[in-house]
This record gives sequence, structure tokens and C-alpha cells, in this order.
Amino acid sequence: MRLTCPHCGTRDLREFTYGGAALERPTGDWGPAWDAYVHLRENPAGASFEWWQHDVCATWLKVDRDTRTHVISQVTEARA
Amino acid sequence: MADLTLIASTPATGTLPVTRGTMTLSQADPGPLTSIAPYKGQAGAVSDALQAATGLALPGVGTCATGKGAIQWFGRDLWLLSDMAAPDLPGAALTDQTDAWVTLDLTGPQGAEVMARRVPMDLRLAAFPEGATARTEMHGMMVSVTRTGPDALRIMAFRSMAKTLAHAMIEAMENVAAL
Repeated sequence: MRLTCPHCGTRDLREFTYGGAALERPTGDWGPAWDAYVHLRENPAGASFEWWQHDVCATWLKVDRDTRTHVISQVTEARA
Repeated sequence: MADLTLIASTPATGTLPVTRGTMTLSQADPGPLTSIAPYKGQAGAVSDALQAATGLALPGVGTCATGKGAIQWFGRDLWLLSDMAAPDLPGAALTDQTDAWVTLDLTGPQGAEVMARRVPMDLRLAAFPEGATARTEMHGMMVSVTRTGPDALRIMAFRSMAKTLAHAMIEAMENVAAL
């Protein structure tokens, strides 16, 4: 699997670290939404939105990956 | 107390230089190293200030520039100034990195072949010309690779990893030399 870093170009998986599911952060006080944000994860067979870090240039990426085929349909810089 | 004379000791002292086949691995002295990390939105102003002070502007992603000293792209919003003392640059965090890195020069006509055994990117001259620099992974270490000439590559890693880096490089050189 390869990911395209917006700075460095297309690189091998070994340069990247998985950072977990890219979830929408709830607002407000503790409630069911926060509980889900902290504890509950989907295990999708298909499209998965994930954080990845390009270790060598320290850029966080938001990656749209298909878990069945490893097809990467989109990579954007997290801070953008 | 007796007078002491301090002798500078480089990270891979005693290990290098080493020649295997057509390739030589030696230790380089890049002089003083300073990382330059402009604060948010300050990169342009810092580049202008650096150019005014040294004649070197902050180069684009994956490139380096040389003049009196040298400056290379070193990561997201990060540059490394070498071979010269850093000027005063308001708007950026400057950190002395001089003793933090080991710098090795790999010279000879088979540099790309040697590096292909260690680094997951194309470092042939056509894809990685003079003036190109990259951060990448080698043997589990996060390194910086810069092309300093048609037959010369410069590899930087954290100083604490000097022996591992030299070992990994020499092993790759031996594998290529044995072909």
C-alpha cells in the first residue's frame, strides 16, 4: 500500500503510522456522543476514513481508504 | 589539574571511511547545524530575512540551496541550515542541531543501487537530481537524503543511530559489490 503525502509525493507504507479512525469530534458536555467518540468504532468492510502520519516529514493526513481493496481514493493534509 | 586539550569526536569515529567495490562511505562535517521552524504564517518573512542575512532563501519542498552555507528542506515547515552560524531570525524557532546528527557521504557510481536496498524511494539521478533532498526511512531510521553531486549522496540520521546507520549502509554496499 502506498500513500501520497502532499509534501513528499507517493511513498511506501513503511514511512507511515496509522492514527486511528477520523471521527467528528463532538461538542458540549459529556454525553452519548462523547462516549461513542471515545469508545465505539466501526469495523467497516469498505470506505474507511482514517488519520495517518507521514513520520519522516511529520505531516498528519486524512485518508479515505477501502478496507477490502486498499484503494486510496483521497489523501488530504489534516490541518488544511 | 593538568591542562586538557579537547578533541572533537564525530559520531561514527573509528568506523569510517569504508570502501566496498566502487562505493565509499565516509563521514562528512557539515559544520554548524541549525533547524529553522517558522511560526504560523511567518515562512515568507523568515525566508526574506534569511536571504537578506545570508543570501539563501528557504527552498521549496524537497530541494536545497547552497551558497556561503547551505539550506535544505527538512520536513513540514522545517528547514536545516548548515555550514554557517544562524543569523537572528525573528518569527522562527531556531534550534542548534550541530551535535544531534551523524552525516555520511556515499560516493561512487552505484549510489542509487546501494540506496535501493535500504530506502523505499527512487534515488537515481534522473528522479533525484542535484539539489534534491528528501526525508525518508532507512532500516527503521528516519533519515534525510540529499544529492550533493552526480556520484554523491549525503545521508543524515540522529547521532545516536550512527553505528546502526553505518552498519546498514556498509551491508548494502557489500551486497551491491558482490553482484
